[in-house]
Amino acid sequence: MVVKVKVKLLTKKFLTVTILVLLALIFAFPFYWMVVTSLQPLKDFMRFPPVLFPKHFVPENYIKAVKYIPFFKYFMNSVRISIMVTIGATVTSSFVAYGFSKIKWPGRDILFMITLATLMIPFVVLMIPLYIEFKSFGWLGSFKPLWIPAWFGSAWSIFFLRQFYLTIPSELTDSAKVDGASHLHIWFRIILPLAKPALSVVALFNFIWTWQDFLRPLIFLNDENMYTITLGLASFQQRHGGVEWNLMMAAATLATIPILILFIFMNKYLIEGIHITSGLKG
Amino acid sequence: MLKKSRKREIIWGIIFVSPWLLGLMIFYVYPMISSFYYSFTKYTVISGPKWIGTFNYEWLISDDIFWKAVANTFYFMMIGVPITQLIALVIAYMFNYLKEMKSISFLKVFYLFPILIPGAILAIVWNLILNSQYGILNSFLRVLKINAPNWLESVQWSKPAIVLVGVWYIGTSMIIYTAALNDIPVELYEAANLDGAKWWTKLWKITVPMISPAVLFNVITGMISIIQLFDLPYILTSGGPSYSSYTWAMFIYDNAFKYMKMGYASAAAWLLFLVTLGLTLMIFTLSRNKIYYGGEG
Repeated sequence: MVVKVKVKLLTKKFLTVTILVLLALIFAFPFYWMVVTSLQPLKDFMRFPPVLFPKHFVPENYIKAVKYIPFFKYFMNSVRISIMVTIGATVTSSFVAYGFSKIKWPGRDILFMITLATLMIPFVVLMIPLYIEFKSFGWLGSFKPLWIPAWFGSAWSIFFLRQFYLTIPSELTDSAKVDGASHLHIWFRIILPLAKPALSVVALFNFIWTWQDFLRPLIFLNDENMYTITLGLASFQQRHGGVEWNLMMAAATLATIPILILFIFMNKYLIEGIHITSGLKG
Repeated sequence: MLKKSRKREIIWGIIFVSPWLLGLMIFYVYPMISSFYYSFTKYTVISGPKWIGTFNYEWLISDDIFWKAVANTFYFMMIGVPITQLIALVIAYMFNYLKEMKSISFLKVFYLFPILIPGAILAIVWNLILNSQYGILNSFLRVLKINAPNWLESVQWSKPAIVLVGVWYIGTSMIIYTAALNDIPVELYEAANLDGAKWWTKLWKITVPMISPAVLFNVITGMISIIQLFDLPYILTSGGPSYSSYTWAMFIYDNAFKYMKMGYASAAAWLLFLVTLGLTLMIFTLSRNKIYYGGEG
C-alpha cells in the first residue's frame, strides 16, 4: 500500500521533471537556432528536411558579419548610452530615494504616490510631447534624449531603493544624527555602503532596459551612424529583408553576449529585483 | 511656528528629492499637459499647433485603421495576457512542486533568459524561424505532413504568431508566481488534508486566494506592456498583412513620425492613456474583495 503510493508519487515527479526539461528545450530553441544559423553557410539552414544538428561550421561568418553590418559602431553606441543611463539613474535615484525614506516632510508620501503613478503611463503616450520638447531643446540627433532624463532619477529605481532604505534600521541613522552628522553625510557614509546589493540590482536593470530599448532610439536618433545595436540590427533586417540570414544571426548572437555575461554573473540580483518589484517580498 | 530643526528637515527632504521633482515636471507633467493640448490641434511640426477643437477625436472615431489597430491591441491583451499568465503559472507550479529537488531549479535559467534579450533581436530570430518558405518551424510541420500556415504573411495567422513569440516573455511572471507559491504556509495544506479536502478544493480555497496578489500584479503589468505593444509586430510583420497585426502604438507612431500628424497622433495617444487608466482601475475594483493581502490587511 505504502509502496504503491510512493511509486505513484515518483512517477508524478518524474513526469513533471520531463515536462519542465522539454519546455526548457523549447524555450532555448530560438537561441540555439540563432547560434546554429550563424555558423552555417548561407544555403545550409534552409535545407529540407531540416538539419537540427549540422556538422559543417563556418565561423568566418562572424568576421563577415561585423563588416556586413557596422557592428562595432552600433555596439559602442549602445555601450555608451547604456553606461551613461546606468550611472545617472543609479546615482540620482539613490540620492532621491533617501529623501523619500529617511527624512520626514509634509507632501512626501503624496509625491511618492505620484512617482509610482508615472510607472503606469505608457511611453507611447509620452513620446510625442517629448519629441517636440527635445526638438526645442536642440537635442534631436544626439544621444541626449536617451541619457539625460536618467540623470534626473528613474521612478522604478527610486521606488526600489526606497523599499530597501526602509529596511535599514533607523537606530543606525539616529545615532549618527545625535553625533551631529548631516543628511548628506548619513546618505553617503552609512546608507550607500549598506545599499550596495540594492544598487547593483538598480544598475543591472537600468543597463538591460537601455540595451533592449527599441522605440526611444527609433524616435530620437535620426543619423544611422548613431544607431544602437538593437535598432541597427532591426533596421538592417527591415531594409535588406531575408538575405544573408547567417550573417544577421551572427550579429544578433554578438549583440546578446553582453547580456549573457551580465546574466551569468548577476542572475541572483535579477531574481531579487523581480521579487522586490512585485512587492511580495518588499 | 515650526521649530528650527523641523524646518531644516523639510528643507533637506526637498533638497534630496529635487532632481526627481524637476525630472517629473520636465519629462512627465509638462509632456502630459502639452500632449493633451496638442490633441485638440492640427500640428505638423513644421508649422505650429493650430486649435481645431475636438476634430481629431471625431476623425479617429470614423478612422477604420484606428479601430483595426485598437481591435488588434485588444486581441493581444485578451488572448495574449491570459495565455502567457497561464503558462507562467503552470510552469511555476511545476517548479514549486519539485522544490525539494535543488538541482532542478537551474532549469529556471532557460525560462528567465529570454526576458533579457532585446525584443527586437528576438523578433529577428523569429522572422527566420517563422519564415513560410525556409523557416525551421514550417520545415518540421511539412515533415510531419501538417499543412503549414504562412504565419507572418497571413491575415489569419499573423496575430497568433505574435502571441506565440510573446510566450517567450513569461520569465518575470514565472519568478513572481514561484515566490508566491513558495510563500504559502504548508500548514494550510496539512490542515486541509486532515479535513480530507480534495485537490480542487485545496486549489480553489488555498492556492488561488494566496497567490491572488501576484496574479493581480502580473495581469496589470502585462496589460500595460501589451497595450503599448510595438517592437514585436513592427519587426515581425510591420503590422501587416493588410493591418491584421497593426497595433495602437504603431498607429500612434506612424501618424506622429511618418505622416507628421502630431495632433492626430496625440489624440490617439490620450485615448490609449485613458483606456490604460480605466482598465487598471477596473481590475482593481473587480478584484478588491477577491485579493488576499495577508494577515494585517
